[in-house]
Amino acid sequence: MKKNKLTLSLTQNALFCACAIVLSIFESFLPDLPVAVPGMKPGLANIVTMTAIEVLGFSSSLYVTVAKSCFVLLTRGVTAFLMSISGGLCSMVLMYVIMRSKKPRFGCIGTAVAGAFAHNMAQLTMASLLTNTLIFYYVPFISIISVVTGSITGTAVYFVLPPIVRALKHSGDIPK
Amino acid sequence: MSNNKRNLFSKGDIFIVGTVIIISLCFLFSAFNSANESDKAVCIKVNGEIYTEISLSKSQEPREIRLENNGHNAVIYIEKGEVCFSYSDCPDKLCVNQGKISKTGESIVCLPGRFSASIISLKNDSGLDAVVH
Repeated sequence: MKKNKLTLSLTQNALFCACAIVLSIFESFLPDLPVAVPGMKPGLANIVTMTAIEVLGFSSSLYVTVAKSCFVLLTRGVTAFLMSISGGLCSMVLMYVIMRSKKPRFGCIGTAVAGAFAHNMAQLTMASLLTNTLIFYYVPFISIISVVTGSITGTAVYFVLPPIVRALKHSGDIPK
Repeated sequence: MSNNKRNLFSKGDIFIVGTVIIISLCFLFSAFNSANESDKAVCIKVNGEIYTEISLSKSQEPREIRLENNGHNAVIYIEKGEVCFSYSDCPDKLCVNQGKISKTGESIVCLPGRFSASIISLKNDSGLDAVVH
């Protein structure tokens, strides 16, 4: 049976976008991490971004990142959108580069930590640009938090990836 | 698409985590190097432009500064060399939740209203404490 490639990728992208948006909504109900910088979140949507990079590739994960930011634009306004897209794109591109690397082959935790760090640093830079205020005093806190939250999301990806890969291989949607 | 399963943690990850921690230590060093200064001021910016600068001291009368921009309102409260956002009508209240700041380099930012308050040093930064002949 010949599958319609366009429909397939559209459906897959939509599914991943939905997962990312649901996770970020869920995350907004969680209390802030009790640290020096308010508003720190574990970045659960990173799980979806990492999975998308690994399973679907660059363009699909780009769609997911941009779609999630557009959702933020509709629900929370332009400022939140700028914060979302800056962090999302930086972490996505960095994680893509890291996950493409064959030698050394990086693990889930390392990739997620790098993604979380890139996300946070990009948001800090964006906040600095928006208010014209240097706020890099908080970099040490943010790096340590990135290691913690990255370890959490990386571990989640480690357990989420195999079943998804198996399911997609079984349905023949990705080459075996 | 990779054929072999990805590890939870590999040797390369040590490099990544190590880099992140080293970056944090570098910033930590530069931040706390300048943390204990006596001549400090708070620089309040609205929309990226300096709104006012107020020097800070331990024996300071409480003072409130009302800010308005972008349809948002906020109040900055200054007392005894400490600065905080006492009120803001932004949705997430991150600026209010951050609490008080007093060390050089610390800052509070309220993104929806584009308000920021940061502690700056008033000392002429020559990098030298004294010159001995």
